[in-house]
Amino acid sequence: MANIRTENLVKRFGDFAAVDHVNVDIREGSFTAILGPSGCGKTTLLRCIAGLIEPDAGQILIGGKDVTRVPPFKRNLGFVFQRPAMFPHMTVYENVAWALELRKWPKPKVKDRVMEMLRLVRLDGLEHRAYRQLSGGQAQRVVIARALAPQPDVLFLDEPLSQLDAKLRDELKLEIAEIHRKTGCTTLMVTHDQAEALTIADNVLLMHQGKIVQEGSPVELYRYPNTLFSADFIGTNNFLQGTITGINRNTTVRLDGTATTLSAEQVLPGVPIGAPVWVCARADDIDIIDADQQAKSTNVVEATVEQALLTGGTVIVQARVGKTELRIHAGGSKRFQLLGQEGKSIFCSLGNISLIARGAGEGLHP
Amino acid sequence: MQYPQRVSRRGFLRFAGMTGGVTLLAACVPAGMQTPAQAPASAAAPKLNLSDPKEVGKALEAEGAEVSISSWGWSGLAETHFIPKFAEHTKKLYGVAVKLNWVSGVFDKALAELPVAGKTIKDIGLDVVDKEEESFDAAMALNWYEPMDMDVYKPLLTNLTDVEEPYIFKGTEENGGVVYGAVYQGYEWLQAVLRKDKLDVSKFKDWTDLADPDLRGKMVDYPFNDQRGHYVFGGFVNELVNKGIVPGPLWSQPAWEGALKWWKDNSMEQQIHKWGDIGNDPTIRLMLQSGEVLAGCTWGVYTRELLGTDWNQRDDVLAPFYPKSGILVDRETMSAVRGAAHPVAARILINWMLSTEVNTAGWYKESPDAKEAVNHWNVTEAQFLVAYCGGVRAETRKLIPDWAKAYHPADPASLSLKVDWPWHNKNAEWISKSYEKIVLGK
Amino acid sequence: MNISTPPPRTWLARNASTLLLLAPLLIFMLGVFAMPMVFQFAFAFFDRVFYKNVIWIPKPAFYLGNFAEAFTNPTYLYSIAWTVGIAAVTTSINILLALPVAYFLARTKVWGRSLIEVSFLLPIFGEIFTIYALAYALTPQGPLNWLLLKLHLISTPIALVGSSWAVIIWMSLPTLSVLLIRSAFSGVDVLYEEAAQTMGASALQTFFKVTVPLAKNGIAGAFLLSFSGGVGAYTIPLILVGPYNDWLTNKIQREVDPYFNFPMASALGVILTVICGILFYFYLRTQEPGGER
Repeated sequence: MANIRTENLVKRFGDFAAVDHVNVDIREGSFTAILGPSGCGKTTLLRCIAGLIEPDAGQILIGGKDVTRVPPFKRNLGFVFQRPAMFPHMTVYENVAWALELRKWPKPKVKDRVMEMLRLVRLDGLEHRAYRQLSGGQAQRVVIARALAPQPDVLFLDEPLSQLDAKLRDELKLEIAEIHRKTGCTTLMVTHDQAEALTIADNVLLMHQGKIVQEGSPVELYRYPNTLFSADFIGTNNFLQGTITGINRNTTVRLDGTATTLSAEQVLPGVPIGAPVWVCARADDIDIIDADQQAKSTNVVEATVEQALLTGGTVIVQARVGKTELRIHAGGSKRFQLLGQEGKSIFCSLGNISLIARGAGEGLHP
Repeated sequence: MQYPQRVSRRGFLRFAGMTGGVTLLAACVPAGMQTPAQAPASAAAPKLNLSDPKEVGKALEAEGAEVSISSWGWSGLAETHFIPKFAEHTKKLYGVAVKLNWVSGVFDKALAELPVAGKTIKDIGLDVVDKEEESFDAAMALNWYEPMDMDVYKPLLTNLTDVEEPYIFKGTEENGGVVYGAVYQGYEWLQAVLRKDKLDVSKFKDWTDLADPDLRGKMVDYPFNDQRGHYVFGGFVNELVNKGIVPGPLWSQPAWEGALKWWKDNSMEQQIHKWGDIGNDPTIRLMLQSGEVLAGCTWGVYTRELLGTDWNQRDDVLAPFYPKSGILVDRETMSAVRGAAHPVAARILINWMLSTEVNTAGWYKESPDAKEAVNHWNVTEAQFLVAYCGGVRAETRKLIPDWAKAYHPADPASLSLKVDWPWHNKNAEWISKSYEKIVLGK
Repeated sequence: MNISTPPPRTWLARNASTLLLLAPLLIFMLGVFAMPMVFQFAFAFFDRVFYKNVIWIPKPAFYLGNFAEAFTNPTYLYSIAWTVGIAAVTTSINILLALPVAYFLARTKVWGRSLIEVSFLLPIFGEIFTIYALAYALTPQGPLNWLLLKLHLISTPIALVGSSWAVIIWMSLPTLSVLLIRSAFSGVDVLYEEAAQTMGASALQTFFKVTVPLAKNGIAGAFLLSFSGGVGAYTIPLILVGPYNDWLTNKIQREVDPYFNFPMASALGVILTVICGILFYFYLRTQEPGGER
């Protein structure tokens, strides 16, 4: 178990900087997800830290030691790839024992550790199976067991679930979280699936175009995105233009083009009264209320329904506030009443809104 | 079928077992065969009047105007000259152009395999066989040949009548014929060629003179696991028997064993630069040309070919070596195949091969008194020397070009030693193995 | 109502079209390879008679004397051991030398990679010419000795031609094996090598514990091919060593001329074939990852 730090890490491919002066500080024992769209450089960053790619500039420190120029086999790590890299010419047992035998552990110790790892990934009893006799999910579990067997400082996972079908993905996702809880090993996982990142990680690094755009816990990222990109990437967000009218413990914002004022439980440091902001309201967080409940609800706006589509568990409502589109995911038992309400006027309680300085690209940690 | 198929171990063992079983069965089946099949005795000779050229022409056409001969390469003369010239010849004489099929390199294999298969030489489509006399006895024992000069064919064999006696092989009379083999080369023996510019040629009179220190590491010879090596060595054995150094007679194991001891005791191994064929192998010929090698034992025909090369004509550095105690001969002999498909064409071909024109590759004087020999076929000197080997008819010897006379011994018949072929066939393996035992110490 | 199912199609009916497509090749293989081999096997059991005191003729029989002779006569035994031994040793060296070259070609993106690969085949395209050239190059006056003398590695020229060393050196040089092993390595996913590296295996350990075992099918195939070629080497020993060498292949030629002993020649040939067959069996074993017994 070790912490990870990088300083000004750079990796270029030709003129294109896949990793652009990245600074990372990962606490030991944490489960960090590197999240981002494809092509943002997250896999490159992961491989650099693991040592499979040599960076062009910068430093990597694992457990306080500078390992920038150290080859991967001298760093004490475990790596799980996108495709199961289980050695096909060996049984499950031999795979998991491989790293231990390399380190010349005595046989009984090897056996104990292998069985322990197989129990951890719930594959005990299958130790004599070969690769051909396992499913994709089982093979990945073998690889996880194999990676964890030699007690690595860090466990790296490169989109480990992307090749599996949806049901298996959900199962294995939770198992990975469970394994992390049991072993407490520092884990660094790359994924493009926000659901994965938000569910199992305790720390998320959001990457975009080679840089880390925002870092924080899943809740922070979800509720308080600090850039437009963050707000847009995670979940479904609505963006309304507003201007700050008052700052106290909360910030009062007036929606441009209306008389409506909204209150946000957030203060943007350094952003004065009168500055333009984006008001972000999550589609899932917007409640549609009856007219007489306005007083009891927060941040109510009036909108006109343009479309209401049933998806089953929710009804997606496209509404309009002034010139802005509003997208609402309406749940609850009353959602069916929204169907066929095109043209009607509804009241939406925006709930807890978040603010992003308009015109700015970067946010500040709350 | 399902793909990919995997050959399992069991499948492979099954397959191997089946193959082994089938081949063992195959081996047992011919066990029913005993002696090699005898060719059927010739039916009564065909009724033809072959003194009339028109009748000959008709007979040729009835046969198919074709004839096949198994022979040697003649240094390429066969393709370039024999085939078109023979067609010309038959057309001129009989009005029918006969297609000549020249086959090389099949006879030895045929001798080994046909008897086992119960077949004879006619079954591979040959009409005439031209082969070194070493195989003559064997083919005769297998009854592959018939007399070429049966009464009906005698009119066609005008050249046969003046072939000298030592070059005719006779057998049991059949339909008026007794000649089963006719040599058309005067001699074909295994002799040697020397670099006369680097050696004192007068020192080399007989085989044992090749042990001379001047030839240390400078000689090429056929190896002892090669029949040709045996024939070269036979000259040594003969000389040693004549001199009383080893017990006789020539064709006996004590003689050869003694001679092998002589070979070892006189360090003949140290004379050899390389074992091989100085006649056929271009890399070894190059060694002779460059002077890396100063002497080589080879066939007479190749010796003369070397003498006639452009570089020797220019530099005049080679001399033939005729050891005086005698040289083993293995002369090219023609025979008519029993049961052949084209017997008439066969006799015409044999007669043509015995002619002066063919023996001299078309380069001969019109009459003995003529000043110049005419090169009718436009061949090179080397090609002439390959074709002409002393002549089996006195007439031919008188008509060769003057420059060629220097390349031949005055009286080849006196130097020729006939080989006891059956003894050699029986003892060839013994000779090779004795060499390895006595000389190489294996 | 009686519904009858159609009878299952016979093996022939199912595979007739495949057989038809394969027919030309099967006939060719049968006529050119299978039948002559059957005859050779049969000949090996024949005896020979000195027919009419003139000539040796093979006699069809079931005669084990040829094989008995081959396995009891020390000369033949030594020759068999020598031929097979040299083939095994040179093939092993051949494969070992080919491994790093093939790995380099498989993993790096060097310009003209295919060209480099094919150039390894050049010596065996016209092998006979290469052998003749070697027969000159390795003589005491040839360029190799000249080089060694100039570099002061030897003080007197060494005679490589005429000794078995020339043959051993030549057969140890990797040619075809580079191509075969290269394609075997290309088939090994880099993922496994990366995985091994992340688990603490150095480059060399990764190569021998992961890459090579995963490529073992191709490597075994290359070994089999090189060994078969090595066991059957005929012109190479003949030209580089001379007519008196220990190779069984040249001895087989001598059985034909001047010994006139075709059955013995066939028997020796059968021995070589069977040895290759045994090796092929072991090769098949390496191809099955613990499958059918």
